[in-house]
Amino acid sequence: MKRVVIDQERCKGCGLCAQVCPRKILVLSNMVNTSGYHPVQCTDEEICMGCANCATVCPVTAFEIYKPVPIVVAS
Amino acid sequence: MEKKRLLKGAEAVGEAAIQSGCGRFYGFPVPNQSDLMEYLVQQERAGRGPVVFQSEDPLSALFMAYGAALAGARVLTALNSIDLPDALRAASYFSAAGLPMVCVIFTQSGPGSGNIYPEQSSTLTAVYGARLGDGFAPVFTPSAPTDCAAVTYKAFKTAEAYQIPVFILIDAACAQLVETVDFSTLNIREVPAKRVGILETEGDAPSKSTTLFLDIDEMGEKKEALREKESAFLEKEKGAFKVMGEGGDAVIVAFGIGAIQAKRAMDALVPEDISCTVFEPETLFPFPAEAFAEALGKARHLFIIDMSHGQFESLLGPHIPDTASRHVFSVTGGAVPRVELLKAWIQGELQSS
Amino acid sequence: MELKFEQIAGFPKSLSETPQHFCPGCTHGVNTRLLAEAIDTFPAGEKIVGVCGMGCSGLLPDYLDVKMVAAPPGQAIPVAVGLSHEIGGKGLVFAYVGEGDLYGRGLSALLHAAKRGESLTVICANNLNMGMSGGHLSPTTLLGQETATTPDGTPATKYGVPIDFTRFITGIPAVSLVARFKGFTAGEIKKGRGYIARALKVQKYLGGFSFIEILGICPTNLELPPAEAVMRTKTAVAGIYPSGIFKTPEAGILT
Ligand code: SF4
Ligand code: SF4
Ligand code: SF4
Repeated sequence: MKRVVIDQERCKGCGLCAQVCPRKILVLSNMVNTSGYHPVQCTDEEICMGCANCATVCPVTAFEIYKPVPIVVAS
Repeated sequence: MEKKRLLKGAEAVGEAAIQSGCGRFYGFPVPNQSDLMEYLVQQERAGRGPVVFQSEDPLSALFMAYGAALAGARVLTALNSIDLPDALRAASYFSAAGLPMVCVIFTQSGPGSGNIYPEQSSTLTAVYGARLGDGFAPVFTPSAPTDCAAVTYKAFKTAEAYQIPVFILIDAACAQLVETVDFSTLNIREVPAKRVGILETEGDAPSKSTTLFLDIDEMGEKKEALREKESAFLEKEKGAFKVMGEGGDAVIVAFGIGAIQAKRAMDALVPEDISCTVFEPETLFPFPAEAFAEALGKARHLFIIDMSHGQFESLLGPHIPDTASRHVFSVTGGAVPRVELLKAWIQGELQSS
Repeated sequence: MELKFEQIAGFPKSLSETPQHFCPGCTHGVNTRLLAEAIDTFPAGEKIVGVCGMGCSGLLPDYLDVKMVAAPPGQAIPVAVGLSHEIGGKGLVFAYVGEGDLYGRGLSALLHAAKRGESLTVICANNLNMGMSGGHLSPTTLLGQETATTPDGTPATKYGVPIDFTRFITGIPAVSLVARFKGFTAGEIKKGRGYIARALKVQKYLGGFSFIEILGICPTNLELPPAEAVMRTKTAVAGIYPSGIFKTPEAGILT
């Protein structure tokens, strides 16, 4: 299951998400999107802590963040 | 409500607005405008007529009306000619958004703060100023209170029919003139609404209102639509007017208080064996050109009462044939053209020619 | 231990898919999303109409999937007031206006609407300069700040010292809710997003006037990479435009 979904077409490569990510897993890629920006990419989703800082500061709403939560089975 | 009412011109506008189904009035207290606003407030207290709101300034009044109109209200605003530029700015936006509004402009003497007495020196500004950005607004010019009421009804119908801003220019003398207005003869009815407010729009109806179009092609389309609307308007609306008398010695052309005085001068000239026709345009845009040409056919001498430095004359200019002998009576500074002066002037001019 | 994945951030329903013209890093984008999120806290049938002012915020109608009106410069508040009068309790009206417009030629209308306690939610996007016109001096430009009209830094001798309009509005008796936050720090955005929804609820249930100022960055006119613009602006506004809730309907003015 993906934890960090980035709409790289919307991304304008401003880098604000990278600045606020505590895990430093967001980096601008070498790709160029249709608008001519280098969109951000996630280097290691497994260590994403689900803080949503990236989604919060992103001006283009490029992120969907999914956080794992334990399923509590009623016994 | 009594059918016959003793009203000032400004109040007659208010009463006709009530009967036309006006929902909201926005204004700011300035001479003449206040008479209209106070009348509406009195009626509001009696449980009839539009909701009256005094804004912080005239420009705010116009754009509060814009917001209310967007939400579906039938709006009336009023101001004094010294604030006419605000109305022109608003009219440009009402034109662009395709929203109806009736705006009364009480004209006083200028330039600058001038004085609060009548003058018609805002004529060209109103007629051409509404063309800001190629918008357009019909300009009505009633005279006596009964006409003020009749024209107000016409203005609301026109605004609704074409979804446009409409100006009513009333000079300070006509605003204050008192007359018994018989509403039973005027047949004013609530004007049916052609649209719903932005919150009620559904499906394909526009849910956005903007006049900002950064795309040149899109802006071009908007302009073209406005041009077509104006053409359709001019195709149908040939201008309103009144013709009084049918004398062949002279045609007197005047509007507002000028027309009232012209009519009196015409009557005063009868014993002198001078017979006149008074032509009173009730709209300056569109100008009733055909009717004016027909009236001019009655006499060689055209007498223009111009309560400005040549503004009315220059508006008439293109409609006056070279064969006509043109005489201009100019009165400004807040004075009303006096009947005996008009009479002597017409008599003198006719004798010396 | 079994895990399931819960979505904690995504694309609000009321935000339009239309690509936005804002420059990379511009706070207007964040504000637009926060507005959409606040709108989404209401049931789908809620009637909401937004008004935007002139400037970089002027294209907001394209970016929010609610009824929207773009107002002339300086006239966003009168237009919103007129809408609010006619709509009455049948819907909610918010205005989103840049500070150059709202505190400049729109100031008189803003103060009077606040004084009357109009049923309105006003959001001011304050990025300390007139962005769209090309980075000119605005009513909240800070001392020493370089703008297109003050290239050597804004001098107090010529333009005075900046005043806090938000504080000023707080003191107006008929105003219900006043708050300010930075639209460019994760912590403050997380707090601030709730303010907008709360303001709209104050309007819905109390018919009150709420005012929220969102401090923003304009990287383009600061001529800085967005991350640096954040740092610079954070430092610059410290102590001058503080963040927080300044007034609530329950507690009145908070110190
Ligand atoms: S949710 Fe937090 S940890 Fe995960 S990518 Fe975003 S900022 Fe980084
Ligand atoms: S904050 Fe948004 S726009 Fe900026 S780089 Fe990250 S994903 Fe792209
Ligand atoms: S000019 Fe400034 S305020 Fe305008 S969109 Fe660009 S960054 Fe944002």
